[in-house]
Amino acid sequence: MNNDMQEFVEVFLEEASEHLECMEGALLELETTSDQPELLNTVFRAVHSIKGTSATLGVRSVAEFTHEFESLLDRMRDGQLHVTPELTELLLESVDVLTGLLDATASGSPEPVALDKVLAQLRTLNKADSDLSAQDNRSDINDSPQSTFRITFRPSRDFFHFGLSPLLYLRDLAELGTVEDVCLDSSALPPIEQMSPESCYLAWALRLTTHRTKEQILESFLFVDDATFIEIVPEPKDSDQPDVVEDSHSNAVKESGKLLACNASANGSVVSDDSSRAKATPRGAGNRESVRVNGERLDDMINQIGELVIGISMVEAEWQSLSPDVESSAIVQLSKIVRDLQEQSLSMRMVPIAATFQKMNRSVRDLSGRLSKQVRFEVSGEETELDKTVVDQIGDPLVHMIRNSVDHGIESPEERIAAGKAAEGCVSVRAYHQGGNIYIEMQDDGKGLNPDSIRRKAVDRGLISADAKLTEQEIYDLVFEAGLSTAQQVSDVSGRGVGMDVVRRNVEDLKGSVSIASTPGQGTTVTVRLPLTLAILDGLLLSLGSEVYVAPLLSVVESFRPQPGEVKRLANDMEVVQVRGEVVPVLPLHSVLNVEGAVTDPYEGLLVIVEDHDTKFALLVDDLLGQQQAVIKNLESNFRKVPGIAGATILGDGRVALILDVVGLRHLVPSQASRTTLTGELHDCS
Amino acid sequence: MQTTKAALVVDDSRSMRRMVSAALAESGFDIIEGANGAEALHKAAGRAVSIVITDFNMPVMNGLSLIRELRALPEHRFTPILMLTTESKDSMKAAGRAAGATGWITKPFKPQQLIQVVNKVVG
Amino acid sequence: MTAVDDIAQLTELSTDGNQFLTFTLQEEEFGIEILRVQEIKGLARITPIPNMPNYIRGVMNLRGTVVPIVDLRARFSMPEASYNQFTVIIVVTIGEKVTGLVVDAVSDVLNVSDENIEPPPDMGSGSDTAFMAGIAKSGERLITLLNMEELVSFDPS
Repeated sequence: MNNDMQEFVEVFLEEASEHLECMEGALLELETTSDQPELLNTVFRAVHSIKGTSATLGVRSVAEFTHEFESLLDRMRDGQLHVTPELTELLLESVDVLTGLLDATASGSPEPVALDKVLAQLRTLNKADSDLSAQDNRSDINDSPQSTFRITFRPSRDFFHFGLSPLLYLRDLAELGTVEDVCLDSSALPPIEQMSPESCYLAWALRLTTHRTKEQILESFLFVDDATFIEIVPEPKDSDQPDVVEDSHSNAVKESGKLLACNASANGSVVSDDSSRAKATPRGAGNRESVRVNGERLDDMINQIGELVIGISMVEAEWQSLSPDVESSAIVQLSKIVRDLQEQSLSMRMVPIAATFQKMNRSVRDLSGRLSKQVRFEVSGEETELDKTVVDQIGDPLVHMIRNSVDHGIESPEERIAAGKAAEGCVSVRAYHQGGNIYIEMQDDGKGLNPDSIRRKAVDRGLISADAKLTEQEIYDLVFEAGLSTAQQVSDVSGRGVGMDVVRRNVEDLKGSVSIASTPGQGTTVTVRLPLTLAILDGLLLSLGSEVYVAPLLSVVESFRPQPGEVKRLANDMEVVQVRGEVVPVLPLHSVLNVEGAVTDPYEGLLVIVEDHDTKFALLVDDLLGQQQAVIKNLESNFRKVPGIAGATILGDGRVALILDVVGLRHLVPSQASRTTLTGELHDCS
Repeated sequence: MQTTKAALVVDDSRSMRRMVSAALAESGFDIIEGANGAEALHKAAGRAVSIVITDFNMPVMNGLSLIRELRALPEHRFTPILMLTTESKDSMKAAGRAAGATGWITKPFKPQQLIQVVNKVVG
Repeated sequence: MTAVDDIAQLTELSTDGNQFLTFTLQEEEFGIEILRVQEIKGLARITPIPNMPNYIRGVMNLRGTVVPIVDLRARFSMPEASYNQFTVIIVVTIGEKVTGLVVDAVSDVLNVSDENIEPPPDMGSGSDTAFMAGIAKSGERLITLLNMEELVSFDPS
């Protein structure tokens, strides 16, 4: 495959993996649902789509396999084959094989081992009575009723200058149906001496009778410029049914399956509205439509709305300065609308966590089977929505944690009975909102963590000294240390893809945190806290000289003005302050960031205690200016990464303020100081 | 005198060019290829073509500049010009429009889609 | 046509009949291809970026986009001029990125035909002519045409 095809193939692979997710969810429900036809349809559409694209792109292995897969599904849809546990198993295996084939395409890894076996099974089933399915009389999609539209088409003056031709559009309209009553409107023609031969002065009005919908007609006006006027008005057939056109439209769109993907998340990054997605369970009339939107366009829009919020703050400030005593009700109302709009726009980046939960479900099912453990998987809050980027980055670590629970947490049925528990173990996951954060809680009723063995390992690995005094909780927290969890015995069954240290890093990269609680003999709970969105940050505005910087509120612990004598200078010139007995190094922000005119005496400024992982340090700043929600702009888009700076935002007065990267700041500290007190592993400070 | 239809295909990626050219050749176009805007401009100057299909990001002279330059030539003031874009960003389309592009095709696309769009703008 | 001819032809074409926006820095005239110029702005509030070379003055809010500002005098190691109400920022696009350039004043837009553009003088290996795309002659004026990609590169060094 050459490099440029690769570009298409990558997009295809991305789409395909979304389809796979969708298929798997539907299949897992197949045995329990009352609406098999709709689920089968979901799976069929996904397989069909993969088949079509893989064939166009020349990914033959995938095209061949999906062909057989699709045939089988088609026959199940037609009721020629009934859903049995064996058949469901085969379908699930087919999804696995397909996943393997796609991976093989992506990375050049070998084709999945099970390919031949599964393909043979599919072929056998498909051959059984393929004659029966030879003539199927599926009803034609295109039986929507004819309607008549009045169309006005007034090309812009510059129409020709874009290389456009009105005649071609009229030709295309004629291909959609029957065109009648064509009327040329030449009223805009100027006197000949003023006429430019390169301008378009003509307009047309006509009637078109067609099976097509208004939107489809509009599509035929592809590429006309903004200044061109097009009006398409349906002529009511029966005066009492003006809505017929709209209905047939939504049906047609649904059938075409193009705009309404079964999978709400779109290519690259994005979005949808509907939690029924991952469950793939039709909710009857309540099944809302989703539209795929390009992620970049959506982000652009969210950004623009962010600007609008800034704009309205500026208006408010200006009004305030002009008439400090009178409130403008118009501005108040506008401001509310704008803020609501922002909230809504941000919610569009959100997708339900359900897809990830479903992967967990599959994992638990597979793993418990192989380990001969009885495990019940319980889910709640799967409709909880998270930023798409967060879901993408957190999905795999969560699945691995659930695998850990089944593999290492839940005991065998015999052990459980011996311990006086039910033979069937329970692994549960729940997601919920709380105060601007999302919590994902994974719980098992297994044997719990063993503090003694963790402690022993930590001592072996040199993470703690043999005589360290640690509480039980502190011992559990060691699980997240790099040297520990990854080095635990790797079960050949679970394969243990990631260590808990990786989980923690992923979560913290997303500005979240993870904690663990365990009771020996009763089970373990891991809780992941994640911010609601990445596009907006709650910031604390800090002043430094004439500049304003923004610190992420999440990393700020407290701030105070030190009392005389509280700040001590160590032998290495490092300043420290005691906060409730804890010695915290002071980071003079003005010197780290080279800001002139800022307060240099800690007693004249404020200390803002920030926390990064488990290290605290105190930022010396001039003053606090208040809190603000900041729309995050990255500096890379026009500039580049800047050490110690996470991004920028635009303040109410229109100027740019830089957002501090608390993790990165530590690495800007002169090396001597960082060696003595601010040690910490190097960290990608993105 | 131009009796057959000619298409100018401009892309710095050889295989992309080949893919587009192959599809157009199949629909009866004579193909002229350019690896960048400058080369394409040179080849298009002084002759009629039925359609220009150009990539956006190219060395030497990018697609936007090519479109502007072509529109400045009397023989290409009304030539349909389609841009190939990898992103469906509206700002890109707007920039193309401002330069005088007729339309755009978002990569990736299938040959049939390409031909459909081409037929849309070529009489 | 040989490959070498080909390349020669292409480079010629790319500047052929181009228009340049000219501006001054300390009485010297410079030119930027007009197609790169997005707009010309008065000086607005610039937020400094810590620990950057002195010619990177900071970032500015350009209708919601955060745009870096490069002081061309500083870039060319000329004596600094204090910013005043006549100081202008030329907003240019370089590849996908947008940058503001601080210059003393904008002069005019110049049409320069091919034969009036000369390649940058070869000053020997010691001098830095990489940022020069050529020298344009217009009557008595000599205008240094700038190679933006060379001039403004933000890759951390």
